[in-house]
Amino acid sequence: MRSFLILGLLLCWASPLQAQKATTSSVPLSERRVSYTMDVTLDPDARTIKGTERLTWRNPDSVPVDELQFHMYLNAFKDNKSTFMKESGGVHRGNEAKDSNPWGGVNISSMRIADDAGDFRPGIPFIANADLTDQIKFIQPDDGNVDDQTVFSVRLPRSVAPGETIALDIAFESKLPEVVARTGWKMTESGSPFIFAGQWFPKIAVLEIPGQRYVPKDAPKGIWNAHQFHQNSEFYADYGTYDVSIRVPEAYVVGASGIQMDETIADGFKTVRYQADDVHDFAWTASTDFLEYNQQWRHVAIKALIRPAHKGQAQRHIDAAIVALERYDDWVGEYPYTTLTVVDGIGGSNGMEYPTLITAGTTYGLPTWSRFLELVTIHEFGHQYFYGLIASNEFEEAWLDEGMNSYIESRIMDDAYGPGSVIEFGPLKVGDIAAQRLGYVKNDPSKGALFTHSWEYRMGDYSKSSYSKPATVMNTLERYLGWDVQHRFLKAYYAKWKFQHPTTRDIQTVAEEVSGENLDWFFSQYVYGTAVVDYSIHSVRSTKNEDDRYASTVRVRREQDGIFPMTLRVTLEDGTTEDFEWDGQDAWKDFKITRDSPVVEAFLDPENLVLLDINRLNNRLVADSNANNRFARQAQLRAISLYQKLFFVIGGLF
Amino acid sequence: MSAHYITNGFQRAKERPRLAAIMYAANLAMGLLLSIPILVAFSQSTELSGYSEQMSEGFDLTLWADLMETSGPLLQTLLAQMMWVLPILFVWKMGSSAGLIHAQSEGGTRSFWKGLGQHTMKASVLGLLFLVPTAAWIVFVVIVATVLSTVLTGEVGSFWVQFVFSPLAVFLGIALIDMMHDFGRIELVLGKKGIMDSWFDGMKWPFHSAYANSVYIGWMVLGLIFIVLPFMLDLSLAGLLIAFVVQQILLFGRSMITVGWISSEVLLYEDLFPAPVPDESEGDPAEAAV
Ligand SMILES: [Zn+2]
Repeated sequence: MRSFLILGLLLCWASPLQAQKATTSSVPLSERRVSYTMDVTLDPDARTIKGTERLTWRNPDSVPVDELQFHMYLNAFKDNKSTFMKESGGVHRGNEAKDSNPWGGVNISSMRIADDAGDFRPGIPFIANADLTDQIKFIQPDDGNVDDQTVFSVRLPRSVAPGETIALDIAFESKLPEVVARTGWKMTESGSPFIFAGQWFPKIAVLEIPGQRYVPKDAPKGIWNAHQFHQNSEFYADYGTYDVSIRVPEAYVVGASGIQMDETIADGFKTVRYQADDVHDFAWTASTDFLEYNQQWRHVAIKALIRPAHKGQAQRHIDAAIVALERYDDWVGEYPYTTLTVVDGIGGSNGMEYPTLITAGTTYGLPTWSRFLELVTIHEFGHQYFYGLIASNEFEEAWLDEGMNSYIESRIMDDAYGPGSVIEFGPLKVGDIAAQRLGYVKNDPSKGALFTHSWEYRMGDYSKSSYSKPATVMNTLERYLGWDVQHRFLKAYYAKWKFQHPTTRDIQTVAEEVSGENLDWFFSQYVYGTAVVDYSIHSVRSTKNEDDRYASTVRVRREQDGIFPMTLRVTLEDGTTEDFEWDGQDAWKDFKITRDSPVVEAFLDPENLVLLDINRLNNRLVADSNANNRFARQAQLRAISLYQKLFFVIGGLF
Repeated sequence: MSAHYITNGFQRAKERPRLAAIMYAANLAMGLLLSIPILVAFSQSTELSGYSEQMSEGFDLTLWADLMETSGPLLQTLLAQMMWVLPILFVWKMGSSAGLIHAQSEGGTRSFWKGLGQHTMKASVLGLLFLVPTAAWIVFVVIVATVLSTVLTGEVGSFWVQFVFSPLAVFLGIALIDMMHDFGRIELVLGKKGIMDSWFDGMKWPFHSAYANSVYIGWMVLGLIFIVLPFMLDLSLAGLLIAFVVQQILLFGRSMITVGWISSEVLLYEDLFPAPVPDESEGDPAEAAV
């Protein structure tokens, strides 16, 4: 009884506290190599965010570090000479950033070692107040484009000792571009700029220490992993804490990563303070138009910021978020944050993920039979795991976040809304798993390996190889291992790598540990390589023997280089079926089957497990005696009546 | 009064069901002809595939994608055949309408084919002329929509302009012009006017007869119902052969409507402009059969 009482007391005491915490944990969940304390002011008319940033960075290496590297991603939109603009030809995912549009950029007016680094200076005296502004030097580690200013390096007057924390005070001004690549401003219908601040502040890069990701264990020292901003690349940063005060004109409604700690109003301005813990980025949005909807799901306070035109769809946003929360919690692991904000942004700011803050995107009058809103919300929520909690390097291995996320997204769509649920209009049913498969198998499947740097893909291969192909690869792996094993693999991957930076090698290791199987054959062909699977039934022949039995020969063929174990199911004339296993290695193989009845049908992969197979129609063949024209005739009937109706309609036009 | 024209028109259509049968048969024949490449291509791809039954039961995106890939240039074939079908459809629509006018005039006693034979050329030229106001109307709607979108701004505004106002305005405008065209064609066939006179006089009809408008609208609503219903059957696919049969019944009904529609317009025209005493050749009772 007593323990119950104490538990009860604890719960009563804990719940108001929990409401003020950014995560469910009372201890740090991540290594927290960095912390940011920012104080910024939005000038909506000038489209600028001006402020200060106190950054602390702890040297994780076992040797001193005398250079820091930073991302300055808003400079990708500074002019048309940046690597981003050159790669995208001024266009990014359909959103133009033409010369006539206002450009963006970020400028550091001062960077100095903090005089008072507070708790973050464990004993070792620093050269306080050392001005580093002149030491800022833009570097171009990826392509040597000297006009690109998205990464800079700073040489320190004295190195940071192993384990020591340096604190920097940075004064900066960010000018937002007109929305491009998921960041910037856009005029709303009410005439005030909508603001989405992503990639908006000077952010320190990741020092990968020996043994971390692909840096050899015996390397003499760590290596900065900083990439320029590319057309097809997103984020990579270290975990830490963010404490950000944002000052906006009073009429603005703000949403941000983390939890809102307080809000003060003075002189027509509103200052909101947000705290985000164990995250690796911080983004925020502000608009005078947002309508706010709140709903609690377990420990998560869900907030939807919806534009007035879409207020009828507010609940759809929240419901989709809950659908995703529930399934991720079950299939992958706990969502440790206490907030989730879903933003209905404008145009190019939509369909984007930041820690605990996502943008969805819909259109006025979107019918319920079209679940694109649900799909995008589930997808962006999924990034809370695959990028947020499991922070793979999105520049170098985009499939680990976009692909794993697309895989779970397709699974959720099927599970929550049924197969064929993205578009469900009369007999037309398009499901996510099938759509992802189509995006791969009918789109030059032999090009673009999953394991490729995102900026090194051939034109058009990035989205296939980062989204639809890995979704299909993972759906195939699930069917190969079985959901039970796959489920344990997903949970183990999360448990082992949450709040860290895993690689392709690491995910394979977890899959192998859980399944107890060497998966080199799978990963080398379909993750590291570009093998294409296509098996077919070449022929089904039967002859009657003298003893009245039938000798049937089924010839199966491997049409491409991809190898996958196959099940061959034959059906005899008497209706019985038999399964045969084939390792799929040889270019072709004859199965000789002597039975009382001839083989009338041969079917490779009858359970449709190998979604990687680029042509399913040729997986099956019936003997001439079993020819069936029902489908073709039915299609003809439908075509006739469709033409008839069309002729009446067209006739009405003359 | 307009209801009277509609019922009498329908009565006329019922009295000569072979007229509707001709309209229906021509429509069906064209659909049948155009569907042949689909049958051939899909038979080749699926007859021995073992998937025939499964694909008949419901839509499968993967199999359809494979099917379209294996069916080669089917889509191009289907598009290419529309190139020659559309002109034929146009001439048939003009000729058959003239034939129906002829057949249903003077108490519905005259020959459809004779009317078609005599008037197809002129009716087609008239039809081309009526494309002019149609095109002009579409241009006008585009201009109005552009102006409107400066007033009805934003996402909601452009939704209404693009998806409600513009299609509705185009539809109603085309219906109005189609009605002018119907009466213009009657002027051509029964009024024995020249092409240009028929064009101009046709365009006056909405203004000089209220009945003309209400008769047209009445039939238009019926016609719409009989075209929307078979489309809806496509969406509830269950039991496709049954659906096809029901669609055919509805489409025959739609053909009856075409005949009844024109009959009503002819009745109205004849009430307003009683026919002169017919000459000998036109009055031959032997040609009453279609
Ligand atoms: Zn994504």
